[in-house]
Amino acid sequence: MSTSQQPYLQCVRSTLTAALCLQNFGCQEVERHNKPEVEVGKSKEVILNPVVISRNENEKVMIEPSVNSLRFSIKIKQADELEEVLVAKFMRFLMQRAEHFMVLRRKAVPGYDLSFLITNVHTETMFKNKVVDFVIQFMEDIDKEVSAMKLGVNSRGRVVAAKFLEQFTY
Amino acid sequence: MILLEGGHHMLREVLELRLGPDNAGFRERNPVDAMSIADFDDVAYCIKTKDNMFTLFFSMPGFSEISEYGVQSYLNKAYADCGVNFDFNTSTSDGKVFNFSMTFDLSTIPAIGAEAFIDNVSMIKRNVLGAPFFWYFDAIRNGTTPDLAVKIPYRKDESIYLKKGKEDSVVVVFGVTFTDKNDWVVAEVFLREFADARREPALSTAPAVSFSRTAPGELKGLTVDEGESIVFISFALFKRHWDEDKADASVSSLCQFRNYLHYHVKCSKAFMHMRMRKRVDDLLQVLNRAKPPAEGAVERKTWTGRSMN
Repeated sequence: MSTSQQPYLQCVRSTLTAALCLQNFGCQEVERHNKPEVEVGKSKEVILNPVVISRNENEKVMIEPSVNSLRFSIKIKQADELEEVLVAKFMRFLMQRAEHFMVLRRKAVPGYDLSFLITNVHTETMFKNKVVDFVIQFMEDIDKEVSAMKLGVNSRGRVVAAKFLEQFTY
Repeated sequence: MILLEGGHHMLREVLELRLGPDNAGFRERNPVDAMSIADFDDVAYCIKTKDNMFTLFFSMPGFSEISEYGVQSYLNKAYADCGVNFDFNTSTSDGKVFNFSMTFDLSTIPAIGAEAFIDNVSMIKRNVLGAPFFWYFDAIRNGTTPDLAVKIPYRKDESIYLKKGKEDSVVVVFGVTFTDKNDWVVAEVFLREFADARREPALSTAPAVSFSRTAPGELKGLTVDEGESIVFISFALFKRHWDEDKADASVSSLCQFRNYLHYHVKCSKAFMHMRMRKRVDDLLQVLNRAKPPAEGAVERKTWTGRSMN
């Protein structure tokens, strides 16, 4: 399961490492302001082309780089209704704690489940390769977590049904 | 704890401490003026003790519809020889309306023994809700079942329906509401397991379960509350489930089914929260590895290798 994901994650890792070349860049419109250019989106010359890496139509990653910031959005595989509910709950849980995570964005980019915003401040205070490690591990962990929770619900369902119906069979 | 407790824990406790000649001292020191207790499905009890007499008031929404199905005779039969007096007139106490009350003497232990009696009293709600079931089983034996299904509206918006099926089987249909969409998604997984449970060899004799969002054929001819959030779950009980001695266990389980289902759905949600919280902690730890250690934490050493503290 994770071996088939390796080429995909490898590709994401190398693209992210390449895109994470961020430097401080003051805002060109307003004096003395310093904003993440990818969020503002006004000046065309400081924003680079977005890249979409997709494993299949349900699982993809979008990287929008700019001169001083990078937006990384993930769309997580959701096969059925239960997985959709689990992913929605989990994403909401994480996004409410975005402050703790520093690089997490409080709202996902439309069309995706979760977004990160990494700025030059983050790359200056943290090791760049460790940040990339974190993002890749995040993607793996979410998939593992959703499958584990789905398995938990299914096995609980089996036990609940068996226990209840046993009462009729003694 | 997977299965919910049969009787009501508080009723059991109140009685255990007070029943019998040995507890006379406790009774004197702790008279009960008016204790209000709540149970599942909006059922409310009120307990009053005076001298050695114990009175339990019972109120349940939908009692008037349920009482058409032989509740009084079933209760009298269930508590026969226990010295219990029933008063089936509605009474009000502190602004709450109660459907009936039962009174008995605490100083004597009835013939069936203290434990069995306390069990029986704590299951009063199950006895009230189960009475229509026994009435229906008797009707099948006598061949007097009504054509339409029997509706037991035990909750606002939710009812139990009883209908005779083919060859002495009884179909019990629950109309259950799920106000939260997330609850429904988890419950659907559970209900699918219920429907598939019969494939296990150990459970092949269990009742057949099925569920659907639209009212099943057994309810044809009745005005049924349908809606966005209502699902119908049908249990097909065969004769061995409702005949004679097995009927008690089957009815007890069925009376609790809806609460059992909702309880486990909420447990799953709590379990998911626990996992998510743990996962968040793990991820934060990984992120913290990305930060370089703080300035002062770096150990300072001199050129010869001695460290400064």
